[in-house]
Amino acid sequence: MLTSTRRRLLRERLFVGLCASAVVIPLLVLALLVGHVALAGLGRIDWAFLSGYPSRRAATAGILPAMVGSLYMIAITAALALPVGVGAAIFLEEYGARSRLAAIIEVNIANLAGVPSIIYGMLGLGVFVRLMGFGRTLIAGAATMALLVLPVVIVSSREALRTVPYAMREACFGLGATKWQAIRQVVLPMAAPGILTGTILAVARAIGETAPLVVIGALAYVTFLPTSPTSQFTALPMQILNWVSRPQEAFVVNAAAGIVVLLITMLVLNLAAILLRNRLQKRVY
Amino acid sequence: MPTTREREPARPAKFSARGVMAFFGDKRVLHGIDLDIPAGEVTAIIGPSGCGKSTFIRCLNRMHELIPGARFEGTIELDGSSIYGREIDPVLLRRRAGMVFQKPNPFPTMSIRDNVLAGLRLTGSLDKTRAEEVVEFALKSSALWDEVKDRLKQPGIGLSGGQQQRLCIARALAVEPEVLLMDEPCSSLDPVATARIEDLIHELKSRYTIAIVTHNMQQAARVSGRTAFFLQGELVEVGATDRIFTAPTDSRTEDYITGKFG
Ligand SMILES: Nc1ncnc2c1ncn2[C@@H]1O[C@H](COP(=O)(O)OP(=O)(O)O)[C@@H](O)[C@H]1O
Ligand SMILES: [Mg+2]
Repeated sequence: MLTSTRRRLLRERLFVGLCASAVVIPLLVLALLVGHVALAGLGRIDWAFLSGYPSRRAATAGILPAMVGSLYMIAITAALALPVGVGAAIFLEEYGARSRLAAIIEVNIANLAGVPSIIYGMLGLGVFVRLMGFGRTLIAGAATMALLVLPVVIVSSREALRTVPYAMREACFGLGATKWQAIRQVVLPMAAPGILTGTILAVARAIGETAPLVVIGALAYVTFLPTSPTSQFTALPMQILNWVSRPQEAFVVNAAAGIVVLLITMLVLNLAAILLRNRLQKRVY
Repeated sequence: MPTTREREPARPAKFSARGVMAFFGDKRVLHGIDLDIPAGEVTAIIGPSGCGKSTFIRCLNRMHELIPGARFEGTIELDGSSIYGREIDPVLLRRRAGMVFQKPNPFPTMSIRDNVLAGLRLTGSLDKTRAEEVVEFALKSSALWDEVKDRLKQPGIGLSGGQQQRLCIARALAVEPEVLLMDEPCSSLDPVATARIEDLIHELKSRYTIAIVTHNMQQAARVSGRTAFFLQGELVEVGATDRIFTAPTDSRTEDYITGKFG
């Protein structure tokens, strides 16, 4: 009896230990990587770097056009993905829940979320750059990224809609509201924190996506700031890619600095998502 | 023995239900209910859990059919005209027959004031110049005004359970319905809060036709003029509340009110 209890306890400890190391080891590797990059790049980051334009000389090269391009791009990405994603989520969750079509769409959305981003790049190149004639512009990049994040936006919006109790909709119907009135004025406001958090997190991921930008042919060496959605542009990952591929050591340091900037930007966006959610959740008592 | 029909009521019927059958998928849960809800009076619907009380009153404002797979058969008239006719918009019907649910369900994103105005806002029929007037009228009608008049901007969800339920009643009244359908409005409340709602029902019955579902027989006896006893999807007996509780004609009614089952 006693020994079997002890053995069971031991086995349990072993299992917990295994699980814990499954958490700790990846984190450690990640910390090592980030630390390595930060060590290489942090020293390079100063105001001149942040506010400077690319240059043939590594020491004077800056990252401003790439940063502005990235932020501009994801702002448009969010503006495109949010309404389309929420619209699709409302259709699937509130209107089409039981139809055959909805079931087919649902499976495909799950599949789309798993499609490699380079495929989205091809799609963007075909549809936005060539067919719609946007060229290699910000709007083409943003539209491609919007496609890329759309499945995640739809899925997280649906989850947010699902957390709104049916009693809330019933209360609306009991007052003589139509389905759409109930959704717009009661369900959406209640789901808003979840929808916004999901969208920001999805869009924050898009800021690091490189493959679609390479495919649609975003420029790598840009010495001007984008002024409108139809400007040509570069983005942080493109700039970093450009720098790493140079033979000079100094440019590789620039790349490390660029990576740090990219990571910090993502971190800030994620933090913004969390703050926004907490704020809105306080409003939803 | 014909027990479900009586010479009463003297008042004209607000709602008049005939042969009401309700289904969830293939399952029939109401088996042909004939029942009048007289105007300007409180009608209590009692019966054991699962006998179809909620389903019946949800047929009266066509909320039943919103549940996927739910179906209705029979006729129901409101003021003499069918509410299940082809030309009837159930959305408009629901503004005439407001509903109060079992669990208080104020809108969590809205203040007390906005909760009261929610029905009018939702349906786009709020006259902004009259908003304050509507809020005061509805909250006074639901006996909540004195408790909340200094904190109308605060969240409705911050109120106590009983206050929340009165807020829901105010929200229903703000739409100016003719009928109030209450589905066990006190079942989640403590006795003090319950007593306040019962008082409120007494005050409201001169202005509205009220149908209240309750599994609490004392409550039915206290608030209603007429009582209908449901059992397993059938109407067993209906009549003046006094008579139902003192001299029921059906033995099943007697068994139920004397606590032999339920
Ligand atoms: N959404 C639903 N789907 C299927 N059956 C239901 C549903 N709601 C209620 N029922 C069934 O219908 C019958 C009547 O339910 P209800 O009207 O809620 O009873 P009561 O309000 O008297 O307790 C019960 O047998 C219940 O199980
Ligand atoms: Mg019920």
